[in-house]
Amino acid sequence: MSIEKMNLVKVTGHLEKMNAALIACFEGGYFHPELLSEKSGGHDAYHPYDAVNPYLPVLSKLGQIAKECGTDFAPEQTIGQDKIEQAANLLLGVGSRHPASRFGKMPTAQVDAFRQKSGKLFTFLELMEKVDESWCIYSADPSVIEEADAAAKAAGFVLMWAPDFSKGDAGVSDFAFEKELHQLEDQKQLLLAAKERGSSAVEQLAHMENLNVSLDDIFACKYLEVRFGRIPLDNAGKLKYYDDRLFFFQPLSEDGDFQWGFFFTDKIHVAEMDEILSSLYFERVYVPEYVHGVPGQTFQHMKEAVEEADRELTATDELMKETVGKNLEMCRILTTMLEYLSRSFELRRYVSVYEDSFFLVGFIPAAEADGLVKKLHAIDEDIAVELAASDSDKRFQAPTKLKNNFIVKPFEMFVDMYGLPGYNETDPTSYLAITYILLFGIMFGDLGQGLVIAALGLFLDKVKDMDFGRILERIGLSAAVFGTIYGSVFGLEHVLDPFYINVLGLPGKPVEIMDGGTINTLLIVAIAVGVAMIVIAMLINVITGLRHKDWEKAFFSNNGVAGLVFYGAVLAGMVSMLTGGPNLFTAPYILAFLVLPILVIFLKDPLGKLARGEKHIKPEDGIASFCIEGFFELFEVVLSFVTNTLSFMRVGGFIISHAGMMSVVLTLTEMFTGAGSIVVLIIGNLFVMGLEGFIVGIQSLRLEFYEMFSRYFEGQGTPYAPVRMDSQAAGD
Amino acid sequence: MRINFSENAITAKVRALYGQRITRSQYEELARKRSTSEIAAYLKERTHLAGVLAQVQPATVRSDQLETVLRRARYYKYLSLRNYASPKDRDFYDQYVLRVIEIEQILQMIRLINIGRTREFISGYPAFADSGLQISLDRLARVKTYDDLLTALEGTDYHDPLLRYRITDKSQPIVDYAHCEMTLMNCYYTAMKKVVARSFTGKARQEIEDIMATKIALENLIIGYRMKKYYPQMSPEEIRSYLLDFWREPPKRQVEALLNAPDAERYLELLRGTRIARGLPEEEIGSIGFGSQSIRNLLSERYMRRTQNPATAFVSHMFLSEMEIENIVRLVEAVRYGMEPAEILNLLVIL
Repeated sequence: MSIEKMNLVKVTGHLEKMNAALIACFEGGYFHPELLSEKSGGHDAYHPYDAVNPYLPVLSKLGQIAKECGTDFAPEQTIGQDKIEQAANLLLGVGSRHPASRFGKMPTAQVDAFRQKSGKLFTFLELMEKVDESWCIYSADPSVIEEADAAAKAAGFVLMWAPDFSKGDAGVSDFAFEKELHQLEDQKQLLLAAKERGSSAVEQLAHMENLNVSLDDIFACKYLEVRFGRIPLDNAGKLKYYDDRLFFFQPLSEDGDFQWGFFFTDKIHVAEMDEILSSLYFERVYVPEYVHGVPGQTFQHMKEAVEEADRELTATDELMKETVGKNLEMCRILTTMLEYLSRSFELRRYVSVYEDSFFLVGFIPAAEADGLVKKLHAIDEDIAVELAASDSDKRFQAPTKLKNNFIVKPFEMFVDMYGLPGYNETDPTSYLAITYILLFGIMFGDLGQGLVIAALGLFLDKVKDMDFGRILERIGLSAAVFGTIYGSVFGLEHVLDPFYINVLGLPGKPVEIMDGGTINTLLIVAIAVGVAMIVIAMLINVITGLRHKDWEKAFFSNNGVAGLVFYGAVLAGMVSMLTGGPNLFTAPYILAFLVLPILVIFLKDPLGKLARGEKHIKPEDGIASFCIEGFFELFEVVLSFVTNTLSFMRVGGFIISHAGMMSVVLTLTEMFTGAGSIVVLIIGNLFVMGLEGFIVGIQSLRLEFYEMFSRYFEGQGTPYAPVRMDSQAAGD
Repeated sequence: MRINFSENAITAKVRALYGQRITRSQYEELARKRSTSEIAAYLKERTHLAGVLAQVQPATVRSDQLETVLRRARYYKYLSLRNYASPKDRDFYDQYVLRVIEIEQILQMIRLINIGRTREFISGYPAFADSGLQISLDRLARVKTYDDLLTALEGTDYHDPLLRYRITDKSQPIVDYAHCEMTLMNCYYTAMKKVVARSFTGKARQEIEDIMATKIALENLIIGYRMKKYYPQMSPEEIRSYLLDFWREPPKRQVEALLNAPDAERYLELLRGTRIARGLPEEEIGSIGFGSQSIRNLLSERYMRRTQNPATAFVSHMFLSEMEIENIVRLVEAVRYGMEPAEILNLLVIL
């Protein structure tokens, strides 16, 4: 029921060990990294590690191939993390010069012999061993790679990919099978173009379907000029104004707002006709050269050609899929390996670099600290790990990780909604959980309805794994307990009477809510509960202030000792007067317990400065401004004590309103007989549960946030956000 | 009294249409386009005009064709909105839209008569609106001279007022376009005044009258400014003859002072003191020559957002949809002239 203790960790080591150190830090999923560059403002000797992830272009290419061929390269087998680490060194090399590397497969029987040849000339790694063939990588200096290639060829090595990471963004070197794939892609493009051409011809011919004349005859006219196309319907009607011109229109079909057809004129008047047609927004469509014959028949031919192109496209797609299928294993191995490398590469953004050393800083829960130190030292004794107190470096604010037992844990959701507590603040979850459960139960007390809400919560908890479900379980049970005290079951107020009389031996139900006398008591009890809660909230504030040595907060503020004395004195005086006791409001009492605390609250700023040992306690904006501001603040403070206390009357109010609403439901139920009354009772209960459940839930939260949180909680914490390096793909 | 609830649909629909309007960021994108085709393609793919432009081929569409398609869509939107109006009020909706179309077409014909290219009327006239008009666009399309025009307009409200501009002096064959425009707009506002009085009462009438009166007053201010700027030698009496009849007479002293202003600069200075100008931001007074800016402000800000009156909402919508079409037309022209995006945006009226 607190905030998890954190340690600040600073890890420094040689660049060569960076990857392994990063994985050690992040694989547990508890390391909360801090970006040094953000905190130091760039004035540090260290600079961020800003190399471009070299694996992403290859992964993106593999993803593209998979997408085009309708497959995916999800890994089926796993590769050891250490092998992948070694592979990274072979692919990228160590130092500035990129090695030439080869990826492919080799008969398993040859692997050992080839490995023995490795050494000075090339470096070899068997990435994955299979029964007949093994997947391998070897790399060598570019000047001697040809010799290495010859040796590999002799050992039966089949080259699948010659990775070249030196190109950067310029491109990714092709995989061996891509040549075949490119040919198929070219073929696909040609087919797509043919299909598009055919489809557009089909579309045009569809508008000429009624034409029983061969297009060849029309376009072969020696003395006539022909235009085919579409004209807006509105403007087709305007052609009548040109009856005196030497051209005519042969409409063929209508399509939405357009009329399709042919315009004919002679060679002399063609320019005039074109101008008129242009002014009428005629859109000429050029009939493709490959369209011949009577449109009706040609339409059929073209349609068949499109279908044929479609079939061929499907076949090409299948061939592409097959080509990739043959190389599926390789693609999967590469994806597995590169995804892992890419993910670990991404972690480098948390690292700062100075010459050949790296520096990583972050927070980890104190309980995990020793384990991490051991892990890092296991990698290399020279990796320096500095564990320090969470507040040892003022540049970094320790993150907040709430640590609560299972009963109150779901209520972290509400705390998070308001704002996480600072690392040194008190975690309000437990107090919120207890008071929330209590307030909801008091307001919504009904045994039957409470159990239904708890059951609904159980369902949401188990089926949907929702925190909200777990909250419902708890508040539902609380409502059931208070329902038992009120003797209310689904609004039936006397069902439990036999239980009280026969089992508990009471004269009747303990609380009769709708009784006139009870109502007053309920409201007074509600205020008493409120007073208790406010006082506890102020005490928490005092304790937090003392813990942080913030004397202003602990003693002089309206939620500190001064406020507590004032509030307590007013309440004591009032209670004494109302219960017929002595009048406490005597002059000394007023001076000591009311005026003095108010004066302290008024002067909290200068007093706070004094307590901190500051010399300049004079208000910055001048005395007058300080007095005016202070006066209004005091006014607000006194007013908020009154309103916050009275605010708790709603707790009593809702008990009464719940009982009132249920009595309406019961009255309605009595108006029906048999099944009708049961239906009304069920619907009425559901309505009250829904409506009032929401209202009471929201009101309780309001009391928590406004009346209590505002007194002791700031909620300015940084969330604990550890980064996890998911090493599952590597299968360790 | 029977309450027509369907009328409320107009306000709701108009607000929904307002929400779909082309936004500033979309205009910024459009201003970066380099051709009519690109603009048409963007409008078709990325704006609320997708449905309207569904059959338009961006690659071949021309700017005037684009404008016609948009105007036709605007007309059909008017027809669909008026269906929700009570039969009593429909007269107002019809007069408001159709009279403007009629006047625009007559003025277009007068312009073409003056330049001797009356045949050009054919391609541009809105055939889609022909059935609802009191003038026959078909007869108008066959006009060759001003006398033909008067014959074509016989029996309409426009015939008699235009009669006085008939050309008698054959050596001066140009029709007085500016006075024709003023006369026709006066015809329009007179008709609107009658229909507003007939259709509305109470707050609704007050709102509509307020819009109309302010619109006329602003138009007169703009006419006055343009005359001062482009025809500085014109006398106050001459300028007065071009002004529309006010619905609500402004203070005589103010009008006199404005008309007697020595130049356009002084005119603007005096304008700042008038009641109408007091509601307008300074930059809009500065660009009064641009005109529509001010009216836009009046209609959109004051009425579109707040009114509960369907007729006011309708008027606001028709005005804003006109504004949008004008923006697109300006955009296309500006892009064609190769203007810079920032300059183009200055030409647009963006809400």
